[in-house]
Amino acid sequence: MIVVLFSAPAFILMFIFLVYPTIQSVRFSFFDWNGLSPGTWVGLGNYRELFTDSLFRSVVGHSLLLAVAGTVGAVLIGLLWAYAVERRLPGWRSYRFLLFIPVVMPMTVSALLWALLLDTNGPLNTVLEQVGWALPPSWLGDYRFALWAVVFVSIWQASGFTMLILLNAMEDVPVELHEAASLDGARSLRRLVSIVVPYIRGTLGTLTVVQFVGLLKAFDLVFALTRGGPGNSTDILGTYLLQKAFTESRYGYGSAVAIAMTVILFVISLVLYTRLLGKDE
Amino acid sequence: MTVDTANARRRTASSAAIGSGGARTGRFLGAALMVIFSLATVLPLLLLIISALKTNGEIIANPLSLPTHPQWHNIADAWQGGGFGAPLGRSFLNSVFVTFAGVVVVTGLAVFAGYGLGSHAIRGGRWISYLVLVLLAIPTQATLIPIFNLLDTTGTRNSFTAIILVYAAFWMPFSVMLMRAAFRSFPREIIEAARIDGAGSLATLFRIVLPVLRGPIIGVAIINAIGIWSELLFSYVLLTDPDKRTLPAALLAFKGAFVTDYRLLYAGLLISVLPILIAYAAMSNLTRKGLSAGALK
Repeated sequence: MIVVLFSAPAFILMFIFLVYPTIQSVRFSFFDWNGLSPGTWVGLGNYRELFTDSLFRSVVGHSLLLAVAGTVGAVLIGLLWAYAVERRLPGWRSYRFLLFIPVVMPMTVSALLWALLLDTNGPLNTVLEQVGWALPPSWLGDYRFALWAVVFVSIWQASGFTMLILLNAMEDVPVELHEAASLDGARSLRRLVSIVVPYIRGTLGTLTVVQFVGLLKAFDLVFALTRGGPGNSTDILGTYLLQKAFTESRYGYGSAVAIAMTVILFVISLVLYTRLLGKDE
Repeated sequence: MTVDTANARRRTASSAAIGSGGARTGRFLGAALMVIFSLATVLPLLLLIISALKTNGEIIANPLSLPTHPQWHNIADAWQGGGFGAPLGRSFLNSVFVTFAGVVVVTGLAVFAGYGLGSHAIRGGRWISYLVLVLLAIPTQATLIPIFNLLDTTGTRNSFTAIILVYAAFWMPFSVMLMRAAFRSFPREIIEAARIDGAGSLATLFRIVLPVLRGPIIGVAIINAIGIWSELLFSYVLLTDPDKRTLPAALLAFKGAFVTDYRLLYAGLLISVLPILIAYAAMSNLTRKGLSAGALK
């Protein structure tokens, strides 16, 4: 009785704003509906349109590229960084302090800051011109570079976080393992690969899944940095949903996008969890 | 914890002792790489601070130089300026209010739920963990259209109460999970003993359990505060009244209104990160501990 009394408010709140709306999204996705007039039932029509929409396919591609490159970049840099701090390289306290700053910054602020820095006439290009690059590209305005700029900003933002998590795991590696390996003459980097990484692979796996899923859900990064442009070259699932539902007032189709996104997320996390974590946990 | 520190101390000693010959070169190269990484992290922030204090002319002509005369009024101008009528300062205060209220609601309710679920023997506890995990996996985007529709038809879309409850619900699964784990680690015998002494459930919670669990609770509150302070999508979609906007959405409008007024844009961004940077500098250890405790559960 007491248990119910204490936990009811939290669960009621989650039901109203999390469970019920998700179920409603499924229902909405079977309707053609602009928010004003009563919707018309279209069955699986929205989903059929979704799978034939070439823009949706490229949006999924952008999201996957961002998730893969952003995760690999942030985990690798975080790994090196954590190892430097763990090995107590000179200045390690400052690295730990500084690298974590972007993690506490709102993503919108980081993205808007980078939008200014990477602007065609921004500081980066001014410096590049001063060192002799006559016409540096417009990083955010050129469809060949824009998505990679998004990936870069995501790595800039996330590396401090991956560093922190991996550092915590590394502090548990027994000193004896390091000592034994160094007696055998193993160099630092060698030890990272052959002792530390195997020891922390559980954390590495979980972290990879968390980063990957987080990037698939991304919205503010792209919306504040490029708004999906130029053209649709940086549109991802999150911005595509907003575009369809609220700019074009297609709530039914937008709901289908949201449900497709949810399914993609569940499937990918399930596969990643069983693949990356199934063996040792 | 103490074991960890001892391990770390021995580690410092051992890695220093090993440092001979080739290893020393390796350490030097590693440190050089770290300096480059650190610069890549810090330089953008330094640019943000110095640019916020320069004139537009200075920013364009020489982006890396220090301001000749710091333009402190840029900050005041940005605070009073804003897109479509609402000053940025107003949005800042909105964000402070929404974040504070949201954190209080979500952390408070999660503490109660954690106490109920974690400190009492219940049947089906494992199923509740699974349920919370599934709730945790729902992307908030899946709820966007129905929540917009619900609040719009009931005329509560531009209200702080509504968005505070929405945020509280979004950060709840995570908070409940962490709080439940924290309460489970608290010895149940002590709670039983208090009950035998005649203390009520609430009295036990507030007098005996909460003081001990202060650390995890503050950790959860910090994570929720950073998350709510940064949230853009729902703020952008639900709070369309310029006077109600929170900071992230207001910054987008701000950028739209002052496209090339760089000094204002930098000053506006500075206003948005300054409180966080100060808070982080003041309690960097606590923040890191809180974030890492909550991250991978």
